[in-house]
Amino acid sequence: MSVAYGAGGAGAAGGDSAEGASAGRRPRTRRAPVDPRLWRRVVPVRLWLAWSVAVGLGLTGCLVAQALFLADLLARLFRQPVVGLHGVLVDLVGLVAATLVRSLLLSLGATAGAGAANRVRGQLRRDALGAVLGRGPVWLAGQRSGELAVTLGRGLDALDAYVADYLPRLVLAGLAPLVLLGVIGALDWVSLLVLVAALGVVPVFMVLVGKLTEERVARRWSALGALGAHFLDTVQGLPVLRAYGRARRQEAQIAAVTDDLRRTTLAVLREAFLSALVLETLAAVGTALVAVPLALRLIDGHMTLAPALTVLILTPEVFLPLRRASADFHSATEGLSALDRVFEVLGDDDSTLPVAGGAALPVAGGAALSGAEGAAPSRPRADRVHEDGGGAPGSLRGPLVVSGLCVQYPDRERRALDGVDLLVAPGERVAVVGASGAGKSSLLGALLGLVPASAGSIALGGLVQGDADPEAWRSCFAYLPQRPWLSSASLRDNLRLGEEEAPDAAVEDARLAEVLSLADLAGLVARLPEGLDTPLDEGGARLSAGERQRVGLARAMRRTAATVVLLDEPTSHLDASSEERVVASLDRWLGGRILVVASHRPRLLELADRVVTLDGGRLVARTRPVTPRGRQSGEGAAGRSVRVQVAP
Amino acid sequence: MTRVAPTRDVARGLLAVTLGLVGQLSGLGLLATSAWLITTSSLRPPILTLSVAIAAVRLLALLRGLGRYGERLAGHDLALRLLARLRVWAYRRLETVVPGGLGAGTTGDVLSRVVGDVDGAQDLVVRAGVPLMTGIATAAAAVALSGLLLADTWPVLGAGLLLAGVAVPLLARRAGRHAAEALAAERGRLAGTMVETIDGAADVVAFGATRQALAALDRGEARLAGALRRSAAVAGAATGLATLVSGTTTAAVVALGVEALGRGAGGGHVSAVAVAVLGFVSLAAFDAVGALPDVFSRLDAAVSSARRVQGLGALVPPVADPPAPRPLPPADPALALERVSVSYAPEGPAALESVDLSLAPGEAVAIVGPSGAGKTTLALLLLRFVECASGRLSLGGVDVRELSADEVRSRIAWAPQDPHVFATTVAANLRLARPAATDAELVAVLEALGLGAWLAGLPKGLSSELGERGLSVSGGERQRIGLARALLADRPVMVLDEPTAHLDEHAEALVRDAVRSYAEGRTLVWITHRLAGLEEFDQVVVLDGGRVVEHGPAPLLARRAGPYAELLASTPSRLAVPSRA
Ligand SMILES: Nc1ncnc2c1ncn2[C@@H]1O[C@H](COP(=O)(O)OP(=O)(O)OP(=O)(O)O)[C@@H](O)[C@H]1O
Ligand SMILES: Nc1ncnc2c1ncn2[C@@H]1O[C@H](COP(=O)(O)OP(=O)(O)OP(=O)(O)O)[C@@H](O)[C@H]1O
Ligand SMILES: [Mg+2]
Ligand SMILES: [Mg+2]
Repeated sequence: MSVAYGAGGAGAAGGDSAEGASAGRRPRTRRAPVDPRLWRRVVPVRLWLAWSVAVGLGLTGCLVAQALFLADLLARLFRQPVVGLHGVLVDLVGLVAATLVRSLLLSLGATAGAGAANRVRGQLRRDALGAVLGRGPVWLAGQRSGELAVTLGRGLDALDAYVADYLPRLVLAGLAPLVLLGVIGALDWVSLLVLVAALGVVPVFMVLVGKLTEERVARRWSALGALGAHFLDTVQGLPVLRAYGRARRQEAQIAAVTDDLRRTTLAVLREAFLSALVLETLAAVGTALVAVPLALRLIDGHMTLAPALTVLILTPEVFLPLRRASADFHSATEGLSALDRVFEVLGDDDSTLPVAGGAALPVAGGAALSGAEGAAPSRPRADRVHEDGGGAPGSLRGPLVVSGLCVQYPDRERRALDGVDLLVAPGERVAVVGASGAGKSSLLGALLGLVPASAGSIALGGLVQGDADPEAWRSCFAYLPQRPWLSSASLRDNLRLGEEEAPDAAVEDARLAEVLSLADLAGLVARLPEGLDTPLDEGGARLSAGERQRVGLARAMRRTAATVVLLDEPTSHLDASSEERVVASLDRWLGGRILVVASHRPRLLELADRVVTLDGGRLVARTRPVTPRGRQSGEGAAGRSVRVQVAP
Repeated sequence: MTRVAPTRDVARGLLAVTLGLVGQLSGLGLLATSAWLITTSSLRPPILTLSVAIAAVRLLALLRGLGRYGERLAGHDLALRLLARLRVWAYRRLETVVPGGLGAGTTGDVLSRVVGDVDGAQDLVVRAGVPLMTGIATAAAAVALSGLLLADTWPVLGAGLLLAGVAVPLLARRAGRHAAEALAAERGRLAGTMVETIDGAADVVAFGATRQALAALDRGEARLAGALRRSAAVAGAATGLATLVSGTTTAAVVALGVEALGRGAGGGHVSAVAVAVLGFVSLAAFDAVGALPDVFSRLDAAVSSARRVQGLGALVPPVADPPAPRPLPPADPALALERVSVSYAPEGPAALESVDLSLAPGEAVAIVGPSGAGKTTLALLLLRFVECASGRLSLGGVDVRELSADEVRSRIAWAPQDPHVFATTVAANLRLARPAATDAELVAVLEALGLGAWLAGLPKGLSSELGERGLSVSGGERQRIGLARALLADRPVMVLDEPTAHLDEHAEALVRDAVRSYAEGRTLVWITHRLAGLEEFDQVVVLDGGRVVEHGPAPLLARRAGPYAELLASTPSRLAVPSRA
């Protein structure tokens, strides 16, 4: 556990950067038993609480009735032993009836609890995933996806227990003792005093232990997140680790991380159980403390049997809900710790995006997508895009104007882009070259709005990026990233990423076949065992690198409504003849669209009207076309004057 | 999982059960004694006769809490120890099957098994095993006690307890098993979806597929919600039923007592006390078994979790080690393929077909060919990540199937086509290839590959943390980090899969030179689409459709009218585009 990747991995167990930071940031303001953020965001929680109060009161009522009937019955026996069954029939029937109602309430409560948990979990998970997507790749680069997955997955699953079991128990723990104490007080005020004294210690203890446990549960939660992050990263990198004989060593790492988890968990449990111990002992001692004076007063004749028995039956029940709630406290707080992290992702704590330079990029998802109307808040802006685009929805025509664009990644001294000015006329094709790390991908990412700009502006057809609804803005682009992501879904689903359901499957298949052949993949479908429906396995593992790249290209070329095409090294994994075919069909497909392509390949540069060079984030423009493009259409020739309408 | 629990674990389990019993029986005793105390008191006996009972009530009160506390702690300690071992076991399984052996499974699903399901499996011990045993023992004690107090009642109480503690739970189990399994499976599926979506966040957003991704999540959520609702309904019904049985049985037991009193069995008031105590014993006994329906439903969730974890054991490693591997042939890294065929699915098309190739020690071989020709497959074959379907691959003359795959790999340095960057420091990312490398060596390799300026721009140099999955490095930088590992590894064979795909010509030449000088005296397999500079290689192998269609020195092939010459012809002439202005 001391070597190589192991050394770095050990950080994950202790103070991993992401977790450490988030644990530090985590606000420790939660005092209310029900997290107010949960309350605010998930409206059904209120209904559920109200329902829990009602059921809780019902359950308590049944308990009291049961106790009264049983005590009355037994007391009768002492007054007149030979009553016979008919003498106690009312009590017996009452006893059974109270039980019946109780059992009905219990089953109803369980079903309703599941329903409430489903709604809470479903909404939070959806919102959180939306927020993760909305925050973009730069934010994600600073996160551990394994930790996020554990939080959004298991963490929110743990919330089920909190919502379905813990919340009603909490309600019951607040209600039942009061009701029961009232009943006991009415029967025997001495017992009431004894119980109030015993219960008085409870809140003090609960607060003390609860606070300790809460800290530890948060620690345990981050240990679990660290395990998830470490595990996922390790499994994804297993080929490399195995190739270098480091996979075995990771066993020790995993063992260390999981052992850390075991220790923090046990620490949590020890405290949680301690609070349970205190409560149980109090309950038992309370019973003893109530029973003995009752007995003595019975001997003195100051007390009759029926109320004494009722008090005795009800006494443990005063403590029971508290005991239950405290025994579940640790598993409930697990859900709550995950909740902290989820709200952090959602930005409900007003935590700003951890991107230097701030918020040039409006964050999509989260709030915008959580509402029933989808992106309703930004609707007016989206309409503007459509107006300006005129006609086809989602298309903005006109020049692409980049001015003074800067990109600053977190933790990097140098800017990845430093004052880039670029004017691309409608229909113009620009190739961006430059050494590796010069900022080509950053430029494409910024144009798309995925990478936040720290300064400068980008406008398309007169609409400034910052003013546009992000989704509408991006719908104007067709994009092939440097490393296209493929999911484990079918080839068809991968190609149709972002498309609504097609009305006609046959037409759709023909379209897909067309883009596949444009991307030089005509033979692929025939080779795959289930054709278009073949799952590509995680990350597109079923394909070769060049095939993945071409699927990415086909996917981009399916976006016919796009007016700007951004290709990041589209042919880096292709052989020359495949490249030739791909570039030729690209040439045809592009038509009057703007093209910005990052590449070093000579064949692709031929496609461009103009080649610009990035060097250390600065642009060195070359105005002369590299080769005549041989296109006769007057559109978009380089150097042509363009009317630039930059929105104020 | 597969191993026998060590005796220490058995001892821990016994301790937990014993302590649990102490707690439960004290609870039973406490209620019974209190009831006796109070009812007897109402008969106004001399106070001295009660003193033992009073002391007992106090002692039992303390014992009860302590017993429960000890039981929980011991049970969880045991469970957590088992979990830790289970996780390591799961990782060990994965280690043999990735890459290639996961099939349609996703790493997100695996993650949910290892993190979530392993945690869920602990319920087997703490929420199922221990409560089950203590519940049964307490119930038995209560039945025995009832038999002593009033012989008529024990069959009724016993039947009630059996009904509430065994029949109802078993019934619930039958009804809920399917839902419990679905629950675990859906959670795993959802985890898989989420890991994938988070992985592909940039593409999902760029393609406006956010709504689509969320809709996919919603579909999974809906299935999960259904499963949860079903299993909660079953569990709720079981709890309700058990409560009903408990109340009715208590009423019946008391009724029996009343009847016995009426018949005049026993003598007067003493029996009334017995009846009261009986009622309380019945309540306490049901308290102990009341947890059992819940235990059974948890048992199912835990069992299906455990099954999912165990499912990892069923994954088949693509390459299996022989039972008794031969020792690695000393210092002879000659690799030879004889009529080797490879296919990814048993019935599927061949990715490599009848390939003959020999790699003499020190030879530099370039592999070219169209995309999808099988070049990466060849690299994976050499690294023993895929198995030959037919033919023979030998290292130093020995069939690799007779050697340990790990040992074969220890001879080969590999730069994958798409190298993984770990979420750790630059140094740790490189040192995994050679743990003993000094900082100076690391810097030297990075500089040789043209990453000097990049390194200088990092906030903490070699100790800078790289974001996960290489998201915070550029494509070319990531590829060269993978390449740097291979150069550092100091192994006799180097297999480099398109190491310059993301570089411009200038950087490509630099990297090629650096690699050539590092590879001096080593076997070099260089997979590429770039034909520039291949004259320096001893041999060029052209693959197409999984077959070797041509091989020989580049200049020779260039002159011959063949596949290589065709590739060369379709490569456009170089353009004078300076990489630096
Ligand atoms: N998320 C990030 N966090 C920190 N630094 C980053 C991040 N993304 C990129 N960089 C850095 O910014 C610089 C520019 O990266 P970019 O990906 O734009 O380069 P590129 O020109 O596309 O290079 P290549 O040709 O290798 O793909 C690189 O030095 C890279 O290390
Ligand atoms: N895991 C897999 N399962 C099924 N088929 C696969 C798998 N991996 C690769 N293939 C198929 O095997 C063939 C060879 O793939 P390979 O990755 O070896 O090609 P390659 O020559 O490296 O191509 P490229 O230049 O694009 O990287 C391809 O047709 C590919 O679709
Ligand atoms: Mg790039
Ligand atoms: Mg390949």
